[in-house]
Amino acid sequence: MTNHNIILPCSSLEWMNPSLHLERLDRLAELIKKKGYESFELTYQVQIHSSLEVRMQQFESFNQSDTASLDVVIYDGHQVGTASCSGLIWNDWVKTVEQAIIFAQLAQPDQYAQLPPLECFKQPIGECGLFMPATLTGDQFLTQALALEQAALDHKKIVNSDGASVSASYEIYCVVNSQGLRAVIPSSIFSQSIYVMAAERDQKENDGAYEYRRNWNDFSSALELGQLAAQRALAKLNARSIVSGDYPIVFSPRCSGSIIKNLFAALSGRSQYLKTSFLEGMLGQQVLPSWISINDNPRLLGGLQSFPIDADGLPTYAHQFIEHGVVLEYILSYYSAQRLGLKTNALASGLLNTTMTTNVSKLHDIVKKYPKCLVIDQLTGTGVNILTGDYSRGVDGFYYEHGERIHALQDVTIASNLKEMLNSIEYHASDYDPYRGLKVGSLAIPSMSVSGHGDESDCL
Amino acid sequence: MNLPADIKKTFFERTQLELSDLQKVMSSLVSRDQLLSDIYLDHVQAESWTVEDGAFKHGQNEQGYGAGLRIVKGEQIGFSTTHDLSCQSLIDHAKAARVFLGNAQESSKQVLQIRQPLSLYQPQAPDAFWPTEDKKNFLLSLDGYIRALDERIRQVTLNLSCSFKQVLIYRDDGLLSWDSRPMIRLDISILIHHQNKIHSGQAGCGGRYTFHQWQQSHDSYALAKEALRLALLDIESQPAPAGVMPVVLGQGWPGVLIHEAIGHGIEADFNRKKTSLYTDKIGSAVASSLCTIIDDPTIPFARGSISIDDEGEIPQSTILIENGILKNYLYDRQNAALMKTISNGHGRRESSHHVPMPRMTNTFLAAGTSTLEEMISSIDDGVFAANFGGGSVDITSGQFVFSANEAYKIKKGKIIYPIKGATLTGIGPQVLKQISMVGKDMKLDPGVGVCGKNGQSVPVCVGQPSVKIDHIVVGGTLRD
Repeated sequence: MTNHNIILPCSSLEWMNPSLHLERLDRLAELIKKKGYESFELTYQVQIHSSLEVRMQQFESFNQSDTASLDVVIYDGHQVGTASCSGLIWNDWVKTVEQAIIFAQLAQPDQYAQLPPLECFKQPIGECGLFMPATLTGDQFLTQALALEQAALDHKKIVNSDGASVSASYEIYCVVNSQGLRAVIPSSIFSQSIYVMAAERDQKENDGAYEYRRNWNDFSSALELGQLAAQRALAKLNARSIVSGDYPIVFSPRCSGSIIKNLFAALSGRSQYLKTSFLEGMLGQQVLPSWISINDNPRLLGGLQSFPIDADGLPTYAHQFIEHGVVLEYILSYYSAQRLGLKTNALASGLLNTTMTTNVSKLHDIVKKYPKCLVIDQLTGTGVNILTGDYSRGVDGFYYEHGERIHALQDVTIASNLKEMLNSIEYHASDYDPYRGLKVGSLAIPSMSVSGHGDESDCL
Repeated sequence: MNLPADIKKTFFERTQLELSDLQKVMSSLVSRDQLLSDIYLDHVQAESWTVEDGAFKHGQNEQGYGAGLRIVKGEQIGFSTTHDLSCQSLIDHAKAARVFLGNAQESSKQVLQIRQPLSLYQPQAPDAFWPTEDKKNFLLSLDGYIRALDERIRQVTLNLSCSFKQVLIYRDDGLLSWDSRPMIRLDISILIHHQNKIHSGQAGCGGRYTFHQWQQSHDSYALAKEALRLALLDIESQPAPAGVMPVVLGQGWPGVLIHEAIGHGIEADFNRKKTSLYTDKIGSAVASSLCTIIDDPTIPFARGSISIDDEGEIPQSTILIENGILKNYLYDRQNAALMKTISNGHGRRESSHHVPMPRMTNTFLAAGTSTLEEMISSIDDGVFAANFGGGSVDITSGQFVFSANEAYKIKKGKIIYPIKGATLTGIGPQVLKQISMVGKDMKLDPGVGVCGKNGQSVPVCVGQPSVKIDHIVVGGTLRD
């Protein structure tokens, strides 16, 4: 007999008891003070997770996990030591503190290393609505996963499946520091995904779709997501290469965020103080076309990336990050702000819920504007150099002519320099996934160098 | 019980678990009609340090226990993990693992048998593993040495990370095995300032050594000079060409081509599920007849080596392709059983919190008969990709991509200048058929590989001699 009625994720109550965890952190803080250390930060993260996978309409795997990790940071003047351990055992926690102290003593002083001042922690941290638990049974997981896969398998040329999976995770993030910060932040994440294989003649292509949500009820229907996965795999069939040349490149919402993440990496405090960025010293300078502004709201209620505090424990707030193409702020932790002689902006965890000016509504509006162009769905390889901006990636996607999809791509790479790419963004559509943190839709760059091995007959 | 002292101490003395507890937990895990079940315990200790701005800092210490309980029934898996190694917690998790797979079997027969792992690296007592003072002196003196090499050096970043992972595997057939796996890695990054421009160079190395073993067998000063050489080379680099051309790949790390283009496709799970390009291709020609490809987990001290696999199987050196013909897949226990064969000891997992899968270890293309000079002089117009960054592959279509981080333009049989930003792409089996020369100079990479699959990372080695590929797409920005 199997027990499909079990409530998932299944775990002992102790594991998810926030007041217990906070009380233990307080005890640990007392212990550190007794050892003579006045400046420290303790973070404890506990997660319970269940996932279920089906393949070819059969149950395939069930995975249940409990994880717990403690991070201790201790400052001995400007010397810092960090130690972490997993589990709930008190003796291990005490040993972790001792280890952090030893490491702080061994480290050489770093004049910029210190906790933010007391006044930064005075205000209450507030709520972002991140915890939306659901009462879910094993049966519900199974039903959802089967339906997802069936929706994809219903297409004739979908011949195989890599499986459909459904998961739920609850997490409690507890943090205490010597400056008075004391926070417990619970959150939930649900996911569903489906990957399938399409085949025609001897060509096989694999693709899929997934969703992450804070709230189980926000999922797209199994039918919608399953069909999307099938359409994506089918669209990749009969892929061909293309004639090398300069082409307009349209990054679809599946991968456009990657370009903007490269921009963020170049404007991170760390790459600025190490001077390892192609945008070094660009504060107050133009890096995007003047019609584009970028805003960040880390407190968006129920946002997937929302969080009330950053990795330094500072309360997050809404920012205008880029205005009319000009960099207003770097992405700073307290440490990188100190090193750059700037004021911290509570972005130690990076930008969280980012929106960017749009000038068209969807991908189709963009592809119509070019006689021929490539639409890129996936970027592969590691050819991004943040120091120089040199950019060279393998791609999956499609060749378009006059707004019409001609064929899928294989054996194609695109190359340019990020500085040029960012400066020349011509269109940005509002077709982004509203649930994602980084809300970037279809993004067009008017010309990039494309390599392939197609011949002239492949192309008008 | 004939266990090494360090394993006994970590898993039994410090946790208060008894061997009989594992047998009890196993009895709650095993169910009728199952293929196998196992309990996997691990304990990790890790330490990392950085030297930045000439100062020894960012010290991080990490340790922790984990347990993974697995039951496999045909194609089906139940798996439950925790950091809580108390007997009661393990029994609770054994029950959770079975939720979808039926009730526990009434009685389980477990006749304890110990399987001694190979000894490919010398396990040390964990206490002897942390001479942090020695690491501090070593890194600071290396930093001083590098800064004195060239006055244009503006920033030096050194990262040293060491870990010691102990694992204990207990199976439903009563088999008990273990491993103590050291790992070290040093990364050197140098920035130079030349005529108002910054250029960077990186080099790294590592393997299954303790700090002192590694220090005695490796020349970190040579590694530093290599990082500087690459930074200086960057000064003269010109944009890479774009288009289809002959390419010579350098020895060592460019073997990541083999790993991406063919290695993943011959892992048994993708072939059992028939989602790989190599499904049902055993006995077929899948590469040029010059290609013999081997996965050998038993190379002493190599980064990808394992003395026992994560399912208690003795790892076996396996010929994957011999003279171009596909010979074998890489198996774990579940896929081997489902495919009616036996595991060749390639069941690996990132940690107790991850389920085992067939994985590569040290994968390389065997030496041939040509020389690098012969390959370069045979090319009229092409590229010599001496070294690579990372790469990736789509298992189903075979499409792979990787980026060259040291490359040169070849014209009329001669190297003429360094190029930057070259990306190579192709379909695995098509490119492997384009290999027309294989060098004598087989070499493994310096020990820096990390392989990702289904969200799990494991350390691996890749290797190859120099090879010539007749036609491959090079993605640069410069066209004739």
